Amino acid sequence: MKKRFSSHLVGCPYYVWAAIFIVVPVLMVLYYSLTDANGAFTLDNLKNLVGFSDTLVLSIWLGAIATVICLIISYPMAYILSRSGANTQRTLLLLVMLPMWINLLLRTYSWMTILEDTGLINTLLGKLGIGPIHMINTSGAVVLGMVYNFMPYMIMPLYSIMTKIDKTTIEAAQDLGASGLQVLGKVIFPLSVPGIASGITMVFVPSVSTFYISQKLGGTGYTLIGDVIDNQFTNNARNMGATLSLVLMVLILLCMAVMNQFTAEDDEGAILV
Amino acid sequence: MKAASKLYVFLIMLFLYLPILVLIVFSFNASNSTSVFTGFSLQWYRELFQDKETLQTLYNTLLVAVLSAVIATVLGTAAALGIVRLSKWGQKLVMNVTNLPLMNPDIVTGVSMMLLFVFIMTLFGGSDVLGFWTILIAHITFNLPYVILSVMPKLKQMDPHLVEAAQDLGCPQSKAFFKVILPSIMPGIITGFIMAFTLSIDDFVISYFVSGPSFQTLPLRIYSMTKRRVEPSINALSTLIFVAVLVLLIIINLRQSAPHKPKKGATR
Amino acid sequence: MKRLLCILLCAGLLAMLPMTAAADGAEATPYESNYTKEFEGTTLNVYNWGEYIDESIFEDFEDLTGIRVNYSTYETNESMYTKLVAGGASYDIIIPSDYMVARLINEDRLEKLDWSRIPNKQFTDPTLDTTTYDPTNEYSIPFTWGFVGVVYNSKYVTDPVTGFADLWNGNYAGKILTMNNSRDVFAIALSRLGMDYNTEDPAHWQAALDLLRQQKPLLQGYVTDEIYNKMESGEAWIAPCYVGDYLAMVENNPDLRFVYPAEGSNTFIDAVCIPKSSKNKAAAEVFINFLCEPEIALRNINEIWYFTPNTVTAEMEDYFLTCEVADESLLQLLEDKTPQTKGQIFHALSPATQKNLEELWLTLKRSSVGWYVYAVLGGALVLALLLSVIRRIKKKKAEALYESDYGRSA
Repeated sequence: MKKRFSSHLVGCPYYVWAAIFIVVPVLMVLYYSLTDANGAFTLDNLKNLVGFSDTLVLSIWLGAIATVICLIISYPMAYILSRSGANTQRTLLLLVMLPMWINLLLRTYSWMTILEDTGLINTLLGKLGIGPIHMINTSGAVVLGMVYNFMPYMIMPLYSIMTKIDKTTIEAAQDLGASGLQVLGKVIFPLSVPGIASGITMVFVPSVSTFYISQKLGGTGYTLIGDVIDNQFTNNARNMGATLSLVLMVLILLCMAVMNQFTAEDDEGAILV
Repeated sequence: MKAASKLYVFLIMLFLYLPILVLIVFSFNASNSTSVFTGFSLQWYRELFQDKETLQTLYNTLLVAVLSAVIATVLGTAAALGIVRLSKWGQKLVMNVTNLPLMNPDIVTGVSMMLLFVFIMTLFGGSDVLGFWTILIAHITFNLPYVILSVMPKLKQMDPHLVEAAQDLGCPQSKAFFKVILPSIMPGIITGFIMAFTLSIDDFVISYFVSGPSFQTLPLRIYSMTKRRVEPSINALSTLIFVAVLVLLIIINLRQSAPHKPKKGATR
Repeated sequence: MKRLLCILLCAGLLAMLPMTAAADGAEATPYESNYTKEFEGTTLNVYNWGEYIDESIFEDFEDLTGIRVNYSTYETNESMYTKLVAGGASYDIIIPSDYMVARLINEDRLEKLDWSRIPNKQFTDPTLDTTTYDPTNEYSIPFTWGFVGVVYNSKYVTDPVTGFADLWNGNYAGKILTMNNSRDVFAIALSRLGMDYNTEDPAHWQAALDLLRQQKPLLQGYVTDEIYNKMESGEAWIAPCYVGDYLAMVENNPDLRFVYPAEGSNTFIDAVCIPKSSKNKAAAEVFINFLCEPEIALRNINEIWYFTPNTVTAEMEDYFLTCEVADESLLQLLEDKTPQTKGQIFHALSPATQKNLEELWLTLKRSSVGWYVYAVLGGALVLALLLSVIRRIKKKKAEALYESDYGRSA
């Protein structure tokens, strides 16, 4: 019945497009990472990866810290958002989203001017007679940049899952004598696990792979995997750059697989926990 | 809201808006310092409007955003119509491929597309493949999943009997599509389009890898501006963008809140 | 509108052109008359260092010739090379440094220039030695020359600064910048070690790397054009610096000082070339000629503050060196010809050394982490796995319970 109406064919242009511009590029990355500059097969790039383990670990480390901080800050925010009146909700949501529309480069650049030794904060502190506090070019500054830029990605999924929690479930818990904290720990938190999982991936992925934030806020000590990939491509080391991209991709896909497990599991039977 | 909640929300907002506020305030600075405010002036706005290069890249950005969003919306909507007709196995396969650009870090997407373009170029012996077309293709590609993912749920929610009813009443196929299916998935299409448009305007990383000298977008311009001696005209630019977005969002929001029900699933 | 005007001009009003040009030009023959609309409608991709040209000359060039300039910039010779060789983009004009010109010639990537289209070559200073990179003088024409020194902020750096050694001074930790390209950074270390910039001995390069590694913890960043803001605002205190950049910065911050390094330094020539990928070689040559117009060269040079190879420009009274430079020591330096005699010049390295240098450079820029980061991350991974296993078991149990309760009725 339905088939008569819209046949399989309508999807074909997209299938072709996806094959050429999604699947083939991934194969290209694979191809370049297994060849040298002259196109001959080699495993050298993979062997050279050892030298990049520190960079990779540092990226994961800072990305993970940023993700955790994001989660801690965003959770109460999302909760408050989901429990406020419809109009307040709409306005606050808008306010949370708005900074995302300003280019990431500009926002990060602005943080640089704020955190510098001669920047806004230290200028103000200087007026109060407090000596300059060194903030820029530290790991803290890089993490701050990540948290700042990607926080809305955490708030949004948390918020949307929290609005879906049935109010009656909470009321039932309260009626059964659960305290506020118990309600949070035993009802709201378990029910929001899928939101947490997707929030974590949405913050972790861009944090790990960023290459502008660390350049502007991290100085020389915090070169991340994204910077290194960029470096390879501007220093005539395309094949190594492809290899590192491949590693990053595999890493991220693994993370997603783990996180998806949490989301999927809870989609079927969150109440079982 | 309780006082504690209010304070918390206030602090978060302060955090979110501090850098933007700084950008805006210093766009009116009389000197070119970004830490000491010496006096009010509009000179950076004047300078911005005399900067032909920046205005050109703004135009380029809008051009790519409109084109890529329109093409991605058409292609993506057609794709969604096709995908729901696929077997379960086929659906799974296509959706996994579709999700790839969503899950992949931008830098990997950018790098992989650049490698493809350069590979094709060397295959055909060209010398300058990177430019308008490669940027457009890349933008369409990363826009497509967003369109598909916002149209698909609407298609699945649609009552199949509606189409059958239309056809039983003698409605020809094409007419049934435009009169029945299209209106019911329209909200999804619009969300997809808006998302594609804004993502395209904002994209830096992917464009960075697939762009050539002949075609630069605004984020690329901003990147090269922050790599140089920085002038507050860049602040003026971001202030204008901010105001434009604010006005746009308020308009959209007012329109949405007025006649429709307030709940809208896909803001992101 | 402009296009319509152009067509009208071409259609017989050509005689008007010199007249209008003469009206606002000087009494001598205006250079504008050297240009025609022969290549009208074409576009040139000009690829240049950031902050290295007066961008307003492009408009004048377009007005004169109808050739549009597409301008983009690079940060280092190496990134320019990469883009040129494999970036999938074609450029018509590039302005690399000496050693990069040599490398591009060796690799047969440059077009021979047609000097008949570049009559202004006559103005190029014949005493400038270009044979080190372009022995036959066929591929390039000098754009600027300069040298590297150390710039510091006298407000914060009160100890006497003698040269590159001060870039390793722990008192300025976090306030030291260095350049963001391999040749310059390694040259600084090689200077300190008293080694040749063009050494082919891997041990020398390794020694330089070791020295640079000692410096890395003290650095605020690897920068190219970001040096302007950082030095001018006092965010950074001391940095190696191209002389022209210093002159541009001292305008905005008079506390800055320049020292010619005691260890010796690099003297360079940047030259204009046309890569083989160019699609508009003839138009590009017209553009090169335009760059060599003394008045245009003057505008460029007074914007970027490097030294001009153009003999006519050098004699002009508006040339910054003759009218504006306040720094006496710098004039003395030029008088003594120190950069010319004491300076070392970069040559193209052999491919093996070049590759080695690229690798060492990327090694230097990599970050390192302590073992505890590995430990914590490893621990977190194990914990996550454990948690996931526990969840699974819990779920299985719950399912089993569910089935045993309701299974039979289903």
